[in-house]
Amino acid sequence: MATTLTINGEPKSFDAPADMPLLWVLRDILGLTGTKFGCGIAQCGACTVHIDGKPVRSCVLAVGALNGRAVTTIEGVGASSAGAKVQKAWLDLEVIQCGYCQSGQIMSAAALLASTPNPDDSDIDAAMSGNICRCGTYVRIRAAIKQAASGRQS
Amino acid sequence: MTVVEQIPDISRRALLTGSLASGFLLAFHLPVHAVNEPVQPPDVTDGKFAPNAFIRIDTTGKTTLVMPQVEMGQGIYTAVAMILAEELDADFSSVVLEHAPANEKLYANPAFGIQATGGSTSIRAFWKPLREAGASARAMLVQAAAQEWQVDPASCTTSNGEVMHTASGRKRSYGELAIAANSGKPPKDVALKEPKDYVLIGKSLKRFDTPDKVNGKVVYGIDAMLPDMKFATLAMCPVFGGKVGKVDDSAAKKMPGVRKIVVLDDIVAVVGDHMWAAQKGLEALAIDWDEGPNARLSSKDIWQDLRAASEKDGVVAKSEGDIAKGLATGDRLDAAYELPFLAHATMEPLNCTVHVRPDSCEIWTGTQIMARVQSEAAKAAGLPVEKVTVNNHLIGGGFGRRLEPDMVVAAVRVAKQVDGPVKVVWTREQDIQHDIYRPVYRDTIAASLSGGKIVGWKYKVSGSSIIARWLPPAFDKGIDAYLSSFSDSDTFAAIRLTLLTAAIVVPLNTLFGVAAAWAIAKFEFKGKSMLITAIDLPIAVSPVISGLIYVLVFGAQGWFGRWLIEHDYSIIFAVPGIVLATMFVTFPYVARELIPLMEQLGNDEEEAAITLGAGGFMTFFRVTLPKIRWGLVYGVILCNARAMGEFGAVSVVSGHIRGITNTMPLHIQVLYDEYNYVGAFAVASLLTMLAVITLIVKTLIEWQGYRGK
Repeated sequence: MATTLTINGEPKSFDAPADMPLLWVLRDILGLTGTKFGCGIAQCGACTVHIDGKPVRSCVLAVGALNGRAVTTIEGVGASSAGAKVQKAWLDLEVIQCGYCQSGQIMSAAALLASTPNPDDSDIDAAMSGNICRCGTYVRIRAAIKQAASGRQS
Repeated sequence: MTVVEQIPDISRRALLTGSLASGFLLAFHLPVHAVNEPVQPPDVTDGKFAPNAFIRIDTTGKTTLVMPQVEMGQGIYTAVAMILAEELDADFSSVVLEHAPANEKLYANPAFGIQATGGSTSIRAFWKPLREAGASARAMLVQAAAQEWQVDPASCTTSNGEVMHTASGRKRSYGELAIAANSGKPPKDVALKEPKDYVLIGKSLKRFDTPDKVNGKVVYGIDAMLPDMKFATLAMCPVFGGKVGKVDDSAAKKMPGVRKIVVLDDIVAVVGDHMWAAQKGLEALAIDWDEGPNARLSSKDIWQDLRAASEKDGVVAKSEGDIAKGLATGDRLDAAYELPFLAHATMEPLNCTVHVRPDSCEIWTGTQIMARVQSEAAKAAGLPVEKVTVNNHLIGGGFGRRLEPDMVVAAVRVAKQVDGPVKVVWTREQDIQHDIYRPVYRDTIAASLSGGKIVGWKYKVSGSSIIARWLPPAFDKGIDAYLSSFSDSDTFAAIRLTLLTAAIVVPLNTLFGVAAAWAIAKFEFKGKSMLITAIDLPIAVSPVISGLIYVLVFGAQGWFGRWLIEHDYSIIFAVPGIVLATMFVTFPYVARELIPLMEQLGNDEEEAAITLGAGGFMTFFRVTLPKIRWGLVYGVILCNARAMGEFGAVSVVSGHIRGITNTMPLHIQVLYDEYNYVGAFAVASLLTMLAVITLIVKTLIEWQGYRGK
């Protein structure tokens, strides 16, 4: 079944079963491997992308329901102001260790800042609780979100 | 530390050729120093300066640093690059990093002797080799510049990828020097920087791996993409050790995108156009598992066994004071702490991409054990190891899970059934279910408190041995069996006999050796050449032959046999024979060490002493002995090492009577022949330890000797 999506601002058409999760379309058909497979059941957040600016878990999102929607992945999030700020803060604070969960972390953080420009700790907890990190970078993630929001070193 | 590397089987032959101690040492993979050797990496092309395994500089000055340890998030790529660049004085902004290929000779971790990243050893093990590699490359670049300018290399300085000659104001970039430097030779000894001169080490620099990790460009093993690649996922029996029984693939075959069902002995995999097809196909399979020997084993049973074991007495690691009395005093507290099985649960699920061709196999994965993965893949593919290429990647979490090769072996076995490259990705469910779990442990603690102080303390640890995975033969019956080998009376007798033999032989041979060397070096006499020949004889003759000669001379049928039997003396198949045979074999060591030394030192000082009225003994003790003492000590140590390890000659005269005429090497052979591997390896490890102690003593003495000079 031919489906068309706008991915990172560009229209993309592909053939995929309607029940195929967006994650595998991105990774295995379109070759956008920045979005990660972690659990396949929306429990870890590694596969987080934006649909029309909202964070979603692409591993359980059937592509058949998405025709015509706008998808942003880690490869394209830097084009938005919130995404670019988050990426810069992530670099400045050296948030990352192994990095496997960080595409998802950055996507969740960018969506948070786009909707809540000055999040407090409870906003951060609520927005980021679905993204787990096996290296335990949570403390730096929180600091980096605050820095991205304020533009200052926290 | 959970590094696991099975030692290669020590062949029977190696055990029987008398080189047991050294064979055992090698099997332990003692640190190798190949990393320091200026071996040209195999993939270097012309026009690059490639002084060692870690550094390549092309003519544009681009500096490629090859990473011997893998990046799993711990930051080692940045640390390794900083150490190399520091001593190289590289332009840090022009540095690019490359994953090392599988090559144990070039990239073995000096802490393990294998190409492994684990146990928090990277900096500790590579600190010096990397600095030496950087400094040595720098020296070669300086040499090339100095030669071009016809100046003293010592008058040149380096910084930021350039060699400078300050006096004349001349400069050459490393890129410009690359070709000339490549034809130079690495220096033998190279000075390392003083910490005060560090420009990179000690600074908090930005990580090399971060930029690509914030923009999605990073490539982990799971991100490998190849033209015409297929995707696969697999299932294994839910019970460890189980096999595939019956598979009904009729529904799965009809799933869109499913290309192939691979059914192996213990694995079922579905190959499709993408992971989704593979996953749906796997779900559609009806698999009957043959659950095998562990079918009825449950966590409950395992805990029950462990709790029962933890109530038994174990091996005492340390005991101080009267524990029973201490625990009976004051208020007693008892506690048990239990740690469950745990999966490593790396964020990046296990995966491996493989392309098997008739004559080659290429692998894309993220692993902590490059060379092992290569050799295991070769076995699985049925190809020689050099036909297997492994492309390593950044790793989305290792924690020791990727110190195992199982995911690679499984992928190769699947890929053998697939035309073209296939990426095998484990679902999270398989990843957790088929982890190699952190083992269960139960620690029981009893303590008593009196007046706020601990007066009694007993700590017992019960669990599976990690070392047992390193040394399966020695430990497959548990650490208790290993240690109890030493309390076996026959083993104890063998240890005693070995030490006794050495205690008799070494002093006697020292005495003979000094006397013979003295006579040969200082005097001219008839039969001198006969004596020299006699000293060299044991080296020329096989030890087995010397043993047989003793049997011919002293055996029951031998020249003195009748007389010995009549007078009730036993030499052959008894301790005196062992001592005599050992003495013969070890006779040359002291003398051979001393003769050249004494000859070189000459007679002048002795003649002067005698002229001044000193007697023979006084001359020897006051003049000769002080001059030869280091050679003497060295000879004694060699003699001792050989005496404890001698196999051939002793084997012939001993008769292998357990507990009476078995020395340690003979006892090891007896145990090994009886398939008592635990005992054999336990005694072998002790003998190895004695050999290591000997070598340490030798090194210490040499070191002191050098310092004395």
